[in-house]
Amino acid sequence: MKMTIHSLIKSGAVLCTVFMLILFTAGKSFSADPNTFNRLLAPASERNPPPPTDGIHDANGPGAAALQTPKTAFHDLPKSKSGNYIDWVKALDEKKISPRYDRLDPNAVPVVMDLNIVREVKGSMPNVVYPHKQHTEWLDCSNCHPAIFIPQKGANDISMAAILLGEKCGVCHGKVAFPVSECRRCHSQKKEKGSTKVKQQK
Amino acid sequence: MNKYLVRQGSISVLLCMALLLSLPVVSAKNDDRESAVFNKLKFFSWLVNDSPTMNRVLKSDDSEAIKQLENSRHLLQQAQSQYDEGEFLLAEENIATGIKEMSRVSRKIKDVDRVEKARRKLFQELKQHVQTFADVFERVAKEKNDKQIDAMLDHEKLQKTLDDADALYREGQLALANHTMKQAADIVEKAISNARHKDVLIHELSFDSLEDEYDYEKKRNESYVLLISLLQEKQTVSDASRQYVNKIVAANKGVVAEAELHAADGDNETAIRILEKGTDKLSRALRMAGAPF
Repeated sequence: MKMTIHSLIKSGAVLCTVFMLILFTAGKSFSADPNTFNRLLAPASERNPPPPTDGIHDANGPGAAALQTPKTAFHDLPKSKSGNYIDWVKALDEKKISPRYDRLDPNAVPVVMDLNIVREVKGSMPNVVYPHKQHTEWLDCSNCHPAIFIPQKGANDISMAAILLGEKCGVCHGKVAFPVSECRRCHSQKKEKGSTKVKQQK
Repeated sequence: MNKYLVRQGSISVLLCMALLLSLPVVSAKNDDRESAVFNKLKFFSWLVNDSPTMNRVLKSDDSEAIKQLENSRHLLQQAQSQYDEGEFLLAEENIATGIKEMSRVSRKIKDVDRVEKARRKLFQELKQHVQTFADVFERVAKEKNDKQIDAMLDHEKLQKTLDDADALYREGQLALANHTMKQAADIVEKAISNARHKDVLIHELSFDSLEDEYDYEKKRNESYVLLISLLQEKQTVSDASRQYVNKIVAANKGVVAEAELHAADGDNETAIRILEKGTDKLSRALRMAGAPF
């Protein structure tokens, strides 16, 4: 009787171990369903998976296995906290990448404009500094002007609500550029003491 | 005997469980494959029966291209039968071959009309762009009132480039016309970039009227509520923090309603003060929700 119970317990333990093993190996650690919200927000160890398993490329396509894996390509690039976790602006500044600016002309250089626009905001939030330089290193003027931003002082009504709804800065930020949850990246100019109120009214 | 029976029994149960548990995984993988092949078949069928490429090929006089289209249709039929019989790998191979064939055909019989239309549209957009930026430069030059700034834009060179682009467009050399117009765009963009080099433009916070300021305050309040809901989705915070945040957001609705009443009565100043206080509380909630500021 004693021996039978002992064997039963041992068998039960083995069963449980096998069951757990099968459970862990049977499923993926993040959802493969393309319609799941935040499908790509995987834990750090599973970010930037190789093309055959990233849920985007056709795993059976002949080119998928030939593509360089993101982890290999991104290994030496400076890191960031969102998106594909690479700080691409810094990578360009540090000359770790040298993207081609023109499809047909390999020697083309971008027209970079070094102009900062400071937008004062109410309350204790630091003012917004918009740097043309970092944007024009990646984009052409026509990408934003005049369709998204009219190139004239006072002509653009920008608010966080508009940005969150995908207008103005939100056309890119939150989609292909860093999200608006990183406040300090834009709200970077500290206010002087006593300047939180509106300066004047006409 | 009992020991033997128990051991045998456990092994059998183990094997049965392993079999049962692996079945859903295997059938799930098969479902994925079937679904993928079905979608590819659907696309391939559209490509050879309904697509603009198919129409272009049939309208063309190119017998070789028409033969390639017929080959692709034959491959589609084969893939369809293989799919119906459950031979997904073979179906996929035929679909891949067929799509490659159609790609070759599509490159051979170019969609000339679409390309011309796109080039004409691009030309007009570039021309408008050059005009807008030329106006911007004039504004900057007037604002700075400096002859050196004026000289940054070579007006003669710009006009000549524009004229050349227009001439090429009229002659129908659209690709070259667009290339020339891009050069004109570069001229004016470089001029603005030089004129504004290292400038800092400040948009001061000032309002023409109390109504404007109230509108601004309303948008600011709304923004904070939207930001809080965004952060609550992205950040992990304690239940207590979450409850506090939700309480503030709920109370904010009353604040906004009160402000609206004052604004409706024409007392925008009071409405602004009420909203400012409400937004201050929301900024606390924003920090509790995980905003890093």
